Amino acid sequence: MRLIPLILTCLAILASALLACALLPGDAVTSVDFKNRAIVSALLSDPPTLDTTDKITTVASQIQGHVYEGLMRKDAAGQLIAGTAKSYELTPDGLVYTFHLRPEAKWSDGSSVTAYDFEFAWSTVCNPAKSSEYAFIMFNIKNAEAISAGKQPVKDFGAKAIDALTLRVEMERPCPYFLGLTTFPSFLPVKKELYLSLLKTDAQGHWLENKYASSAATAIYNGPFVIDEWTQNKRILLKKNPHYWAKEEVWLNQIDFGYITSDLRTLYNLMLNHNICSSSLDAETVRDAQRADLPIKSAPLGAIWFINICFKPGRPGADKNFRKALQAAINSRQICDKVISMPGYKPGVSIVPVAISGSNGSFRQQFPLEAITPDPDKARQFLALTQAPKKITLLRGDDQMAKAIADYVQNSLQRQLGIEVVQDVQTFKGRLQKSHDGDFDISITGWSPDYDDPLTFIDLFWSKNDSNYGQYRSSDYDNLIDRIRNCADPLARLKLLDQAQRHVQEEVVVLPLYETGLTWTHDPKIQGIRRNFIGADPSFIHARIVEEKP
Amino acid sequence: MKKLLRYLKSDALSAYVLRRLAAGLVTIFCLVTITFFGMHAVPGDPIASEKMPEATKAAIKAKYHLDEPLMVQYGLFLKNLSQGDLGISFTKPNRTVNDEIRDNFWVSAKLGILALGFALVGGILFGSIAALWRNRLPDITLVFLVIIGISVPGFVFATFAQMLIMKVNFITALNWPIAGSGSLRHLIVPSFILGMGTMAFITRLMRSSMLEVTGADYIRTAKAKGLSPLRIFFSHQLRNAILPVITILGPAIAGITTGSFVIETVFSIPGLGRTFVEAVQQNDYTMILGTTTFFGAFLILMVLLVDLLYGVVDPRIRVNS
Repeated sequence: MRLIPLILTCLAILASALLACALLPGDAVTSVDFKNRAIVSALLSDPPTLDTTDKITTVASQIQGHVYEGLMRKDAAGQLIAGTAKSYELTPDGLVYTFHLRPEAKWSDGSSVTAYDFEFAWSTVCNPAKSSEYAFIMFNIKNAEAISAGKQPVKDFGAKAIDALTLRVEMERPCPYFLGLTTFPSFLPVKKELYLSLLKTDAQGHWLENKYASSAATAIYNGPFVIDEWTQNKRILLKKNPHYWAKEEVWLNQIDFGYITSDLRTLYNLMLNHNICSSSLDAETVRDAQRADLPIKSAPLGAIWFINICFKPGRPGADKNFRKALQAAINSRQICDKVISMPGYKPGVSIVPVAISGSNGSFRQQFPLEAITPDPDKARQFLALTQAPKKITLLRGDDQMAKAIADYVQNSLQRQLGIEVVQDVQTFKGRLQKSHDGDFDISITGWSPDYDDPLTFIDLFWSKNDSNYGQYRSSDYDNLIDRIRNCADPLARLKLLDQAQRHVQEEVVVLPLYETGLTWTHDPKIQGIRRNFIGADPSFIHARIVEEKP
Repeated sequence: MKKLLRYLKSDALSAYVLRRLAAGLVTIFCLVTITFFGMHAVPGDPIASEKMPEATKAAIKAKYHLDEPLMVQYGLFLKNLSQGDLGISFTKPNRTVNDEIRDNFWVSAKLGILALGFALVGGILFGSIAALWRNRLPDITLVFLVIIGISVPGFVFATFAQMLIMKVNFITALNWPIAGSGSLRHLIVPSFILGMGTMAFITRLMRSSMLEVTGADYIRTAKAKGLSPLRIFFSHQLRNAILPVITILGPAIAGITTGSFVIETVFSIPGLGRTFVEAVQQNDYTMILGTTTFFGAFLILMVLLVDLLYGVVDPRIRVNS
């Protein structure tokens, strides 16, 4: 039969073709290149846009933090120092900031960074024509809220350029965390002429899509790096900015975000294969990294996950004794240690995470809050005082972490209190909708800070806050918030914030479960990677490569 | 050959193609309509975000015409669609859906074509081998592999392959890429894994149809005439046995191009499969509609092509005037 040699030949050709492909020499792997001062890293997803006046996503703010610089910036140790503004003055009532810009600060096209660029960027964020998701971040500036709601014209905006190098910012109320806020992406400068030239408007003057910062060619930069190439969904290549005023402080010449995937296992494999220089770790890969003897770092992420309780009349959560029973039944330490068991995570005690700053280091170290000791007997006592519901619904997301925690909560309430818990599993958007409608008894919710101040968590339960999903209404608490918002004395303000965190615990407004952390590993040759929970994360601005010792 | 050319030029065929294209348009219209109303029925607000004040949300809704009645939105969408404008993405406010499809489709297409190539070559070859050595060692081995190929999901193979490449890279100096895109090298392993399920399916199909053909009378006649085994294999066995494989080609292309989400995520490949699934997760209305319409049109074209190919391979099923 002559067929056999033929088929064998076919197979041989197929096999050798595959082998030939496999034996092609590969590109040299250089995730950490000392000679060219270049590193390769990865992004979890493609940034939807890099327009700082639009919505801010985690991935976008990582890139934005590398290519733009605000009035203030962070140094290698994470301290807030002067950035594009070389100095500032603040009036004693805490209501007017005057920033003096550096004349040597330049855009990547060589033109000067001016106060007008800041005024334009900030006013655009709260311009109703732009309808930016992050308009609220400007609301401490005079008239910003009214402008955003269309009640006042944009020209009344509180931040005004006096001349090219002086920016005067009038505040609606004292805002002790304002300097830190100027590192947030929404406060980065935007070149007005370029922005407006790329904007499409319709006949009624509505702003339609804007090509600004939607590709490498449609933006200019004033930060340590510039975007040299941006291939959607594939690669973002950063090169050192030759026009950056403090370029001597930047060691790296190139950061290549050459991979985009949300699969942490792939990222870890890429790291092991020397394709990228650092990788985030999850519960599974952290064990492998430990075994592989890689440096494992962890840092707090500043976010907190908690059980949100619905206060709508008729819901069991409206009864304080029921909430007290939940508080005594749920063991957040066990959730953190047994269910999550990841480095960097902490059991939830207060609504304000430990990572958030006070006036002198951590707010929580300045104003410690005692944890409630879980006690099943006490829980049953509290439950006896109320008309205990037989069944409650627990709203949660569809991820693994939410499932593990929901299972734990379900089990412990069933066991200790005899309450049947029904899990309502929703996608992110579905959960948001249901939370917003108050369509839950309890829900597993997370909140990450927008700025480094306890208020970003404390004002969650303000009756005027749209994100007050449990619809908690308390005139005492509202009063407290009003006083905090208008307090010019930083220490007195922190004391009020402390009162508020105690109120949340005492009234059981929510049940803190855990504070999230970041766990990552990196190539031992690279030093100075900084993790920030606001702005660029991870930041490679101050990173450098140390040569291997022979 | 002449007959075939005459057939391809015939009026009957062009009329058939036109009819099919018209039917395709109706199909797309139905698809778009069902998707549009289905998508709006899914709970979850596409604009919702944890931090957005209500006033801002209302403004964004107005921008995307989400504040208008559903029928008005539907009319607007159809009007824009007829002009080839699929709108602005909800999640990527500075990018149009047309941009996204243009940038990402070719990557998916390259991956898909390679995968289909692997599936076809491997499937036909292994199927024939299994049939020719029926119930012998090659057959048993292949059938075993086919069962694994059909039952194990792609992401298991993907993760496994990645580990394997890493081990090879440790031992040798090959530096074979474990993820990413750019060159053909990056696509070979992902496309092989993407095509594996289809390859297993084609192998099984090819084996059974080859067995059927081998027992047919005309093969015995051909043998009796003294034709060479090669000639019998190519002009009689293969040509007849391959028909069912062509039949499943249309659905297979569908499976491969839309099923690449997991492979694209694991291997960090910027394809349309990933864009499509992420849009659904995010309730990104314009993107869902845009990609669904595009995939729909693409599949209808592919199925039509396959049907035409059918006529080329088998004269018995050509369209008659």
